[in-house]
Amino acid sequence: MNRRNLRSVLTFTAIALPGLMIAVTGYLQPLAGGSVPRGAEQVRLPATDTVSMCPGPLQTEDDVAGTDEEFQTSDVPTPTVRTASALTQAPDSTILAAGVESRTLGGEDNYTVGTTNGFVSGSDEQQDPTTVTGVAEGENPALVSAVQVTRADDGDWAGVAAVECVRPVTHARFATSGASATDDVRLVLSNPGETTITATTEATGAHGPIDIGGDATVSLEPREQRVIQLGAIAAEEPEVGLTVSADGGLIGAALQHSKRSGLTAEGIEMSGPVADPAREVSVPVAAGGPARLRLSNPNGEPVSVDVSAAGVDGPVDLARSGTSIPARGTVTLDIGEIPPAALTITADDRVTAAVEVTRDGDGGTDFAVFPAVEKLNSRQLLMLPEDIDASMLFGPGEGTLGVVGVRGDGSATGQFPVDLSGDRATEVNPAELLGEDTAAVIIETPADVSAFAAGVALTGRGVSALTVPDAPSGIGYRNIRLTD
Amino acid sequence: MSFTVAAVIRTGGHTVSRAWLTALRHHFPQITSVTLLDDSRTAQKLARRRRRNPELPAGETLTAAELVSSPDLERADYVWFLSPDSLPEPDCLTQLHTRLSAADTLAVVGPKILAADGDLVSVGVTTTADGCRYSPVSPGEEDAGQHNRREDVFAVDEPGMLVAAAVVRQLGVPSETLSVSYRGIEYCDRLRRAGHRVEVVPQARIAIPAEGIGRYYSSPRPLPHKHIVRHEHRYRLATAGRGRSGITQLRLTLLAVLKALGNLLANSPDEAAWWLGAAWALPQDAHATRRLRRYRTGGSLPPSVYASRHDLRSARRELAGVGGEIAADHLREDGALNTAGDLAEFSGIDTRTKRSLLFHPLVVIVVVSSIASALMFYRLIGPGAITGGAWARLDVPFSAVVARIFSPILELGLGSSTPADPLLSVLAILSLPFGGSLDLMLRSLWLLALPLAATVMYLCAGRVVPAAGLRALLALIWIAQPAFLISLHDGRVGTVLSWVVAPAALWALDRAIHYRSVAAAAACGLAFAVIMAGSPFLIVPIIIVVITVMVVYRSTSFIWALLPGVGLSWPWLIAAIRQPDALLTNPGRVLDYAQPHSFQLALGWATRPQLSVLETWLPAAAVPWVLVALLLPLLAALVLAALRVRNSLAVLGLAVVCYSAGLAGAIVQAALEGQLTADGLVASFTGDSMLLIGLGFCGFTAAALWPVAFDRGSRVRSYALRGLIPAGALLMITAFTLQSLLVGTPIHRTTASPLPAFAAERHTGALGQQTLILQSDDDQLYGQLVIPESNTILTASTMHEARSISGHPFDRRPVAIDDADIALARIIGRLTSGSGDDTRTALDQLGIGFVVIRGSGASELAQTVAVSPGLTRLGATDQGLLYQVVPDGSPLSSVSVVADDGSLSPVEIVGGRGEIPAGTGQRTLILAERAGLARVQINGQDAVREEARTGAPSWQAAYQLPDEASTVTISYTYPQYAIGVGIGWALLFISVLVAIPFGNRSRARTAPRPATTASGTAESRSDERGST
Repeated sequence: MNRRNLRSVLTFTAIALPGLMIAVTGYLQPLAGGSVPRGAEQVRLPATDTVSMCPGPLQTEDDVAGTDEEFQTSDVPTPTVRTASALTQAPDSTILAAGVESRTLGGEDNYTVGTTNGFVSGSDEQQDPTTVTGVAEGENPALVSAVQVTRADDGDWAGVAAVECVRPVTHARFATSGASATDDVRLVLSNPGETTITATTEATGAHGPIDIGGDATVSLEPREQRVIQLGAIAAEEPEVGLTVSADGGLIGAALQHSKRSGLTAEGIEMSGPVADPAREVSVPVAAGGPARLRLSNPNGEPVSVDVSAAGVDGPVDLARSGTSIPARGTVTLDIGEIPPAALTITADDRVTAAVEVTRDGDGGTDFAVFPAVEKLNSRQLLMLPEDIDASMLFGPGEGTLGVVGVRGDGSATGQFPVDLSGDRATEVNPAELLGEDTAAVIIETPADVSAFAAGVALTGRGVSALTVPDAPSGIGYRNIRLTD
Repeated sequence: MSFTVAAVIRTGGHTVSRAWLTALRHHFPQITSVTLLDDSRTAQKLARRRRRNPELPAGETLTAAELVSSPDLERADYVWFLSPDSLPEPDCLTQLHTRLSAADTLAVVGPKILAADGDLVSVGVTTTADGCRYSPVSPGEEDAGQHNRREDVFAVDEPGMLVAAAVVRQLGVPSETLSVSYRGIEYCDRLRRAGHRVEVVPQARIAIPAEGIGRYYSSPRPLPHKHIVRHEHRYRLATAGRGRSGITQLRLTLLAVLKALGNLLANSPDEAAWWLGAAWALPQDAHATRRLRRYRTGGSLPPSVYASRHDLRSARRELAGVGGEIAADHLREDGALNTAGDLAEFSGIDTRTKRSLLFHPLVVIVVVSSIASALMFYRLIGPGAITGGAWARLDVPFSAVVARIFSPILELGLGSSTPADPLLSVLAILSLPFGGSLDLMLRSLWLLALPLAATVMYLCAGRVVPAAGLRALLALIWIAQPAFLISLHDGRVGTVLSWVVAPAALWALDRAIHYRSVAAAAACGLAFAVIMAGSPFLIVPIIIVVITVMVVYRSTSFIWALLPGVGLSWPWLIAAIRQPDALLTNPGRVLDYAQPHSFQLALGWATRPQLSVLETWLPAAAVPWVLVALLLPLLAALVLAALRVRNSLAVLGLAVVCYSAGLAGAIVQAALEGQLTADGLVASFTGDSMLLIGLGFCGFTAAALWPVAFDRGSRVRSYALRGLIPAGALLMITAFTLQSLLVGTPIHRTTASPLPAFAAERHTGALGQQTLILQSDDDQLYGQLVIPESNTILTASTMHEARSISGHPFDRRPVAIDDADIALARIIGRLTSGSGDDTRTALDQLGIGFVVIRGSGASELAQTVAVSPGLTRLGATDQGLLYQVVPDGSPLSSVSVVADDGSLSPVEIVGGRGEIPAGTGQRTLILAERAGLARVQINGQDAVREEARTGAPSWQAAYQLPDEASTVTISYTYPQYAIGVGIGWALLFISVLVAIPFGNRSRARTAPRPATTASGTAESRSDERGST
């Protein structure tokens, strides 16, 4: 074509072509399919031994002793420890239950059991703190749990204190009432390992951090247990938030709490650490009664929180549903009388919480402390105390879990589904659902279900909270990102 | 035939000698009346009095108004204007009359005006387009008949002018308010606009007295005296047109002020004062010339009548050489020839320096860009290494760079077989003059990038646009492109290098096509090699262009345009065939950016326009629109270029192709999955396509403004563009400079080393221990295996990034990590699980001797990691908390011997060799890297790979060991690969040699020769014989 035509074509192209391209793609959103951030690698960790620390009998040294003979305190009831090992599946599909080694903290061997198809021990009386180790075999995770129950129907120590033996951790947090004339609160620290560890304690109160002074750091020799009295480090504080950090190893921390009003015993309780601080905290309270919520704020800024509760029949009105916590402080919120319900606490920043519930039983009152819990994760084993009624409360959620009962002889029942509802809690009675001789409950949570649970042990006289122990390592995945 | 002439003598205030008048009438009997014209104020006053008072006797002199209505004029056929004491030759009048009466359209003719001694004074004059007098006659030029063929001129000067009387009655006489220089010009202009023609008759000659001859030469610069400006101003105002006097005055005022400033800068305050005085007197001049403006009837003159500025400049040089006025002893002295002055006088070549180099457009652009560059990047000067943005650290020894180029092993993480980026080769070559220091070289390049890019574009734009001002404009557009400035700010080394080199590539390609020159093709190839290394996205367009050129011009010599690029990067190119994603990458560290909309892409923004410094003054929502609007003049240039008729079709076509290709490429890169987000995946930077769009904009601007058009509409548009485009460009540069000054750039200097010193030392020692860096930020755990060369340019690899994604274009997914990385992730998981697991064996297998913990959650992570036995805390370093892995027994090494029972013993490797003691049982030698990377020889023979043993996972490099003591040699050089790369470099070197233009043989041909016939060959042979 001649130059004039070529020029016309060029002119048209110069103006039309870019215009067309822009018009067609002007507001094109980048296709979502490929804009995938390189996510974390989900790494399945190899199975390691599962260690559970049972704190042992209630510590009573330095107890204020009466001067009159009539006022001698009764003996501390001997706790019983019951362990179970449940079947797990390795990545190569072998199924077995890990072996269990039980020994006292001092090193004496209680008993050793090899791999089985499921094992439940009897309730053995233990005078000393006990370490129960589930020995992982190959790639099979060790799903082993133990429960220690201290029980008395009368006397100065009337009540039930049942605690799922705690896993050694590097950080343990508690939110509790302070020591006073009626409350005796002690922090029990045990070192199950072979190295000396240093445990540093920080305490926060209603007005901010509490200066503990020289007692803040204790050093624990291998297999040593030490007790820290809250009355000594934080006297006359109505509520205390504790953080114990271990350096050089892992520490087993439990809180021992007993109430006595003059001569009347008002209950005993032992509890393990609460969940790590989070912006949304769930506290399933499996027992009903007058409840007080303790909130602890580890951050440098004050935080305001909102509290809501979902009971078995729907949302529950609370006497107080919101408060603000000072920086590095702990507050108590009296939420009144509640039925068994799952509390949800939402805050601007991370907080921890625990709920103390009082129950009037035959012959007196007892109390239970329900800590904030982590989400249920893959397979977890909840030990039930022998000859004590137990019940479980699942918080609101979407989806279905499964519960499997482990009978007294170690065999497992089939899986029973538990449907979670979005706005109400679900109560499960293992004895009714899984059989009268259910010794432990395996909670199987699918990956996409987010749920919380707690158990409660009830006798005529007492009540105690049961916290579902963490899943063992080797089950589930961790998110790790490899960068170049 | 007989005709009557009324002679009009302009007295100019002098008396006219009777003798001369008598002689005049004697020689020219056709003169029927002689009128003395005097327009001085006294004469005008007298005229007014006479009008009021008719009894007053008529004076000797008349004013112009009286003359027009005088009865003498009515009786005459022609009017002849003369100056006092001028001596027309005897046949002057007849010659003039013959010419004038021969054509009806002619209204005025003028003679050749000579001086008394025979030198030429004026043979027709013209002006430049902006009204400066230009006469082709140089001072002292002798009349040798060189102007005898001139006839058609713009104007003639007044002495000797013969005009038809009817025209004088209609259009008046030359005005007294203008000076002698412009009087005739304005008169002829008046006549031309009324539709008449003007001619000069060189055969008719008139001599005028010697004084005042200087006024008949061209408009002089520098100004010899102060009245010249006033004369020029008056002429401009007289020719301004009705109703436009105000605008003309404004323009002249501005120009006068600018000229005054220029003169002050050039140290001539007198001239500056004259200009200012002339500006001050403009209203007076406007008032004086107001009567002339009413003659401005419509119609514009064709541009060919005007002289060009180039001619005027030559004339001014001649005038300045002689001194403005004619020198008395102008004649050349006998003696040694002084050709320098002659050359300046008689040719158009400027052999002297211009008066003020400061005003050369290139100097202005270079100064502006140097200032901007210094303000933007002064922080880069100083100790430390540059890091940040997309800049990979460059503080690596030159030997390591060369080793990386010649080895296919990438030491990133657990090692992989990846060819080096071609950009590394380019940087290595460029850093040779800097003593091998890449950091120093690139820092210098960064500081010089703006002026360098402007200069390259200026030099190469000469091919398209000869005018210096326009070339500087193109250079300014080129460096003010937002994609370039963003690349500079973000530290995108490849894009910046491509940007600097691209105009040179096109220039060389054009020369190669035009001259069929292999040297130019090789030079183009070298430039293309840099572009291919810096912007991998342009590899495919470059290949397409070269192949198209080869096909269209049917010449294989253009292959030289591809050979250097291929030679430089052939291993990478071969790997890119299997991993086409590599063509989407941008060299350096991965940096993602906010994706722009396509209309923002079309205006040259490579990312979403956002400059945080502007948000302090403008609302945040308006900032993108303001930034986009700064580039709208370029779009106007696009439209104007497309609509003009007289510009070069080739330039316009090339601009369209570049722009469209760039826009399409940018849309592909930005909107259609070219970009994947952070964490080390491919992020295709649209700046590579913006290079093409920038070239397109330059081409459009060139086509819009060149060639210069003289009609008023085009001039308005072109001046508007010439004002708006630099304004937009300068604002863009200013915005980015402010952003860099006030907010800062992502690239910055850092003196921190990537690893703690102890860990780095252990790596370079015999044990070769690696460091694991664990970072915990916002509950997310990051793990990285680090050696001292990590995060530098040695481990930044586009091929590695390309390998980490897969999938078809609309569904890109990251590739799952392989076994080696899974093993590493597991180790990290075990370390951080807090369960007290003993990870020492696993750490030993990977040769990890140190763990560094950092990030916002470092303290908690440290406590969790500290639970693992075998980690000793060494302390807090700049890089984080440092832990050393202390195994029980022998130290860790990256090369270990695994015994039967799984225990590890280290092997110290010095200079690639190590000794292994004797031992029993089945022993395996393991290296802390993937299998198949190192070349291991045991006792001189190639080691045998060990397959799947306990203690040696399958992904790890494991070799069988004999029982006796042996020597192990580990090397990462592959001779075949190194030789291949060496051949590529040899090809590059040959291309450099080819590109140097020795001799002129390649310039001889400009077009393909037709087939030579027998006679043709004979002719060429005789030519050769003749020339020898």
